[in-house]
Amino acid sequence: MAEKKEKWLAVLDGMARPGNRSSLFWWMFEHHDEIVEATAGQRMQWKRLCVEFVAMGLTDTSGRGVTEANARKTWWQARREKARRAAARAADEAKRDAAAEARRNYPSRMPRDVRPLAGEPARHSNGAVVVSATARASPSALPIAAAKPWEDPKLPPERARHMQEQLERLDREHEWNARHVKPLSKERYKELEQEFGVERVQQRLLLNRAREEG
Amino acid sequence: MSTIGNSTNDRRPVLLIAVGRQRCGKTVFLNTTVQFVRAHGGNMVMWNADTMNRTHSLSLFHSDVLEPGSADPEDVKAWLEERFIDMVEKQYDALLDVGGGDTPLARLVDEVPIVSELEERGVRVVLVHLIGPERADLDYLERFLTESRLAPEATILVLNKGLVLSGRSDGVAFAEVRRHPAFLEAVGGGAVVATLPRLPCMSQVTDRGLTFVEAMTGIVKPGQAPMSFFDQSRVKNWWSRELPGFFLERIPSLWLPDMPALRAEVGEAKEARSRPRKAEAQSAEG
Repeated sequence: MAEKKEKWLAVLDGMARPGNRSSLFWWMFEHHDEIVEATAGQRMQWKRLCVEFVAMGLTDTSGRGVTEANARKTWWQARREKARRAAARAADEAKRDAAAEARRNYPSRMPRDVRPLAGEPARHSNGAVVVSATARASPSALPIAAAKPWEDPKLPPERARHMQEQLERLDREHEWNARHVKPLSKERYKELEQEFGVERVQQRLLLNRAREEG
Repeated sequence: MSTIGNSTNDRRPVLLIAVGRQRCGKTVFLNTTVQFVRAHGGNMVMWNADTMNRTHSLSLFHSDVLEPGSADPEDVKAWLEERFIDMVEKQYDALLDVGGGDTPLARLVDEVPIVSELEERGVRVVLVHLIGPERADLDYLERFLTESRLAPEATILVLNKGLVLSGRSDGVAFAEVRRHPAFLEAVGGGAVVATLPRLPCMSQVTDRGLTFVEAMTGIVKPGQAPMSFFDQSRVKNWWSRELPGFFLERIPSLWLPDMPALRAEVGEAKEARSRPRKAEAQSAEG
């Protein structure tokens, strides 16, 4: 029984760490955060590190000793894989949040007195247009202009006018930015990665993309 | 421009207080504001009660920042009281960096209704909420709105574009903010919304402890690497093209100290714009 369990664990380990990756890769992957913290953005001394890697018995994919170029490339791959997994996790969380949001907005959960006006789309109390549950699964699928919270009858007219003025100006500004959008430069990516870490930047990018795509 | 909070024409001394969770740009905003005001003929006294922030505190950029003698919250609270009394007596403009979290200011506000006390004595308290695109920023705003008694009529919600990582769609980044109940409640209550333009190389400037004018004119401090001319150009563009719109068009003028040089610049620009029209009208009459 114990032998069978060990065999299964070996299979699972093989699935978690496919053989197309080197032992160096998995070591870097597992110690990613410690390496990042220890180096604190400084350049890696690959020559010296390769000696250490060899001493630790870490090899490339073909089982040979690690070269400088190989180590540098493997570190890049380990960082990319780490960021990819973090981003996938973040995207999953975003989807779950969006689905939870949609569930909260089911018509059955809305106040009983909510009625669409004739010729007008139904609205939530916050002014958002009620659309199909599928579309609501993505909050960003709602056009920004659809949300008109200043139409809330509880707001005094002066406050409502102020809110409309402020939010419409914000929307105009965002629309203008979206039209005059510039792709992010490599330089800016580098700056952001240095400031916030590769993982957080990638996570944020994918999260934004997931929100945009719903 | 909103008329709320700007209905009277009386200019009063302004006390600008920035709040928000940590690392949302409070010090960057205050540092930018004081530099902009001073570069345009105004002045502000700076009070730094953010005893936790040593790396990017206002004192790094300015030699005339006033700080409490001790970091003990009770001492800081007493020091703040003294500052407020001094401001009421001498009627000057000031800004206050309180830092994030549970601050001595929050404790003082719990004891004394400082907004009404200061307003009654002729000071306009302007509260600036720094907001990034993260949900936690809104949690902070929500807690602040429900729990804090620091709620002046002059409230500005500054959406900090410097915190948008993707750099491609502010609308999407701030979509959650735009529909968040706390944000809407604040705007419905009269708060003004303003987006702080992003300076791509902000950390290059602040890490060197340079002012923006120093950065764009290529000043290098001893022992530091010079900023690239691209970054100098970025600072110049941000300073001269983006910031005036933020301060002039987004924030009611009475919520900031008087800036005579800026007033003169705006007057000249208006005059220059109307000159061709006047000439046209005269030639039509002639």
